[in-house]
This record gives sequence, C-alpha cells and structure tokens, in this order.
Amino acid sequence: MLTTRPALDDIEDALANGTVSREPHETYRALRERAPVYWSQHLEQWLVTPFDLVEQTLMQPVRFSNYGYDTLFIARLGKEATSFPTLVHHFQQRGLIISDPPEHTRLRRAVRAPFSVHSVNRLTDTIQGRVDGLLDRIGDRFDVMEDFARPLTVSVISDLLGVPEDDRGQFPTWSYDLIRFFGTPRPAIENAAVLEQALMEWRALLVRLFAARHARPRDDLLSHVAAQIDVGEVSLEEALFTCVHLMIGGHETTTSTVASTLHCLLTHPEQWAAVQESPDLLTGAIEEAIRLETPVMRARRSATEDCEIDGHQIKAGEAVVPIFASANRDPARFDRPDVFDLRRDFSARHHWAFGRGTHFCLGAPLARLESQIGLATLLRRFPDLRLANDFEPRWKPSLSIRALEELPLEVGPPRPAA
Amino acid sequence: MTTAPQPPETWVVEVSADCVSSGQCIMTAPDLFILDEDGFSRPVRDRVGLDRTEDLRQAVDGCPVGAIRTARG
Repeated sequence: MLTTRPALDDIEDALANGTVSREPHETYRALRERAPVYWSQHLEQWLVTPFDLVEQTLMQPVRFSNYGYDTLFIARLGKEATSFPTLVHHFQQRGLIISDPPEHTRLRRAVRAPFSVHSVNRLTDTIQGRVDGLLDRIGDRFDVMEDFARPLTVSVISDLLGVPEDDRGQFPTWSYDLIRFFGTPRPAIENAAVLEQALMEWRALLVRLFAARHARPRDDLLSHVAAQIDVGEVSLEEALFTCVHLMIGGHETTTSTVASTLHCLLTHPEQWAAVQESPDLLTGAIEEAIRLETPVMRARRSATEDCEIDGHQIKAGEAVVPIFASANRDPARFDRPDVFDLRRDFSARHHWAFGRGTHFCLGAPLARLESQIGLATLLRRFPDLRLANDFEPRWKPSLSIRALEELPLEVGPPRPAA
Repeated sequence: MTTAPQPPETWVVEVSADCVSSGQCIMTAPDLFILDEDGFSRPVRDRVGLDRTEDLRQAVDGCPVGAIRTARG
C-alpha cells in the first residue's frame, strides 16, 4: 500500500492559479497518466480521474459517503465559519444530495414521482409551449445561455415544483451563489457571506410556499412534499434542502447542456449539417456533448473508514472526489476521447455525465427531454443559426460546473463585418 | 381424462443495457432485482407473478432511465 503523498508542482499550480477551473481537461489528462489517485495539498482532497476508479468509488456509497464533504469544505473557513450560521446549519442536514441509504432512499422516494420517464413525457407539450414562446421573442442576435436555455429550464423546473411566477426571479442567482462558493479551490469568505444571505432568503421562500400548499394543496411537487412533512415522512429541514437542490439541479446543468451541445455542433459544420438533415441525430449529439463537456464535473464524497483506492491509503474523514469530466474522456474507455462525434455508440459503454449508482441524476429524463425539444425547435426554426463573429469560448471559472459564460448566436442575413 | 396444466399468469421482466446502477429497483423490490458482478441490475427471476404487479410498477416508475421492461407472458 502506498502511504506517501507526493505533490506534483505543476498540478498544484494549475489548481491554485485557476487554470483547472477554466480549462480542466489538460490537467485531468495529466493526472490520469501520472497520478490516477492524487492527494492535492491545495484542495485537501483525493482526486480520482480514471474511468474505472471513478466507477469503483461511486459504487461504494457506504465507504464513500455523500455526507460530510460540504462540512469539510466549510470547516476550512476556520473560526470564521461561525459567522455563517445558516450556511453551516444547512449543510449539516441530510437532504437528498448529501445523504446515504436508507435516508437517501426515503427522500428520493418522496420526490421522485414527477421525474420518472413516464411523468416527464407528459410534459412534452408544456415544454414545447415554453420553447416556442421564448423563440418568438429573440432577435437577430441572442445569447443561448441567458436568453433561451436558462429561462426555459427555470420555468420548467418551477412549473414542476409549483414555484409561482413572481417567486422565480431570484433563485437562479442564489444557485449561482451556492455553486460559486463550492466551486472554488478553497472557500472564500466573501462568497460565504453572499451565500449565507442567499440561503436565508431561499429558505424563507420555501417555508412560505410549504405553508401555502399545506393550507391549499395544488397538483405540484411542493404540495406533495408539504403533505409528507405533515405526516412525518420527511422533516422540514430535509424538505428545504431537497427542494433547494432540485431547483439548482433543475436548471443550471440543463442550461449548460443546451449551450454546450450547440457549441459542439456549430464548431463541427459537417455534424451540424447532419443534424439539420436528420434531427433524430440530436439525441446522440446531446449525449456526446455532455460526455465531452460534462456539466457536473465532479462528485463529492468523504471516506467513512480507512481504506484504499488502487493501492493508495485513504484515511477516514478525508474528502474523495471522483471526477466525471475525466472519466468521460478516459482513452481506456472511449476511442478518440477528445473528439466530438455525435454518432458515437453509447449502447454498451455508458458515460457518467449523470453519475452512476445510488445518486444517479434524478432529473436525467427531464434534462434530456428539455434539451431535445429546445434544440430540435431551434434547429427547425432557425436553419441559418451561426456563432456570432466575435465569439470566443470562455468557460465559467468553477471546479464543479462546466458552462460557457455566454454563447452568442446570430440568425437572419449575415451582418457585414464591423 | 386430465386437462393440461394452465401456463401461469406472469410478468416477463427485463432490465436493458440502459441501467446505471441507481439501485432504485432493488430498494423498491429487493427480492425481484439484484446487482450483477458489474453492478448493473438484473431480475432475480425472468418471470414474476401478477401478485407483484404493484411492486413492479413502482420499480418501473422509479428507474431514472426507464431501463425496466415488463410484458405479460
């Protein structure tokens, strides 16, 4: 067993100076080749990068728990963590995302009904209506992220939960505050202060909505959850945490998926022409785009016991991070892993963009359907869609979320060069 | 004279290659589904009695990728 933890200076530099946050793939390739299980001193985390070891870690939910990672991260604020009581309290609770079986099983069962393949397919017409409404309003130049994908995904998840139109304005900002706090290599005090405020407002909104649905139930997920709080199936804390994460998971990742798929297609003209010819190819294009630009790049686990991964000694209580974005580009698993190929055959070889095992993305069917309808409609209505002339891809700085800062597109007659 | 035994009324159950090992089916009906050596789900028995229809329905609905197929047979 390997008990030493040699540091790789170039990797630590890339983590510390933000290179990994914007351009992760080179560093993950280097880790797969040189240190497949790597203790980063800067992150105070084990990084697990090869496909088979990522899989192995995800398939041991008891040994590598979903509970504890966030608390470890917050604890790195030191004594100052006590300035953020809501933040600390929130992440010490066991909600859907940070629980293990049997709690996780109970919570997932409490919210899963509207996310099943069967339920989601019944939303087809509603989603199509939202897509058409948004596309009716776009001009000759628009940003796919903020003018199309985000309003679409925010409205779909809000409809599903039953968050009223007037209460939707802030939660994308709160989501961003949360993702930014946990997406930096070390917790930043200023981000913690912003997140503290966001969580207070978010929880106040949900408490108010649970009370309203308790008094007058509707046909929505918040009413269903409110009823389960009443009968003691879930606690208020569990319900709050779980709904926060459904709201984040319901829009942030799908927004990225829509934009990344378009980006991949528009930068590969032959494949763009192919989907215009055969829109059925979009399904494969979406899967390939989320393999290549995996929206949630990493899982967050903590070891519950002393153990080993591939001969490396892991101590109980240490953070262990299996990296989906790396597994999905592992040449041991995928031929030409850095190439976008919408005809890639996934039938026998899954990608792990939605994770694997107990915490496999609850919203995967919804994400796939929204992306499919959104992209198919865009393609059909705007066959001359193209990247804006001045577009340079810039990715949001985050260790956890892979998303373009913006994706400006143009439709209609080409504009004269400026 | 004897009558031929009637074939039992059953569900034929399959788990497709779409399985992602979420384990939802096993938590719903631990006697009907099991993980194979690669961690993917498969039915314990290919045929399941109609008395387990509700459990099967929950397993089908609970699968996040719709990998469980059932047919009368």
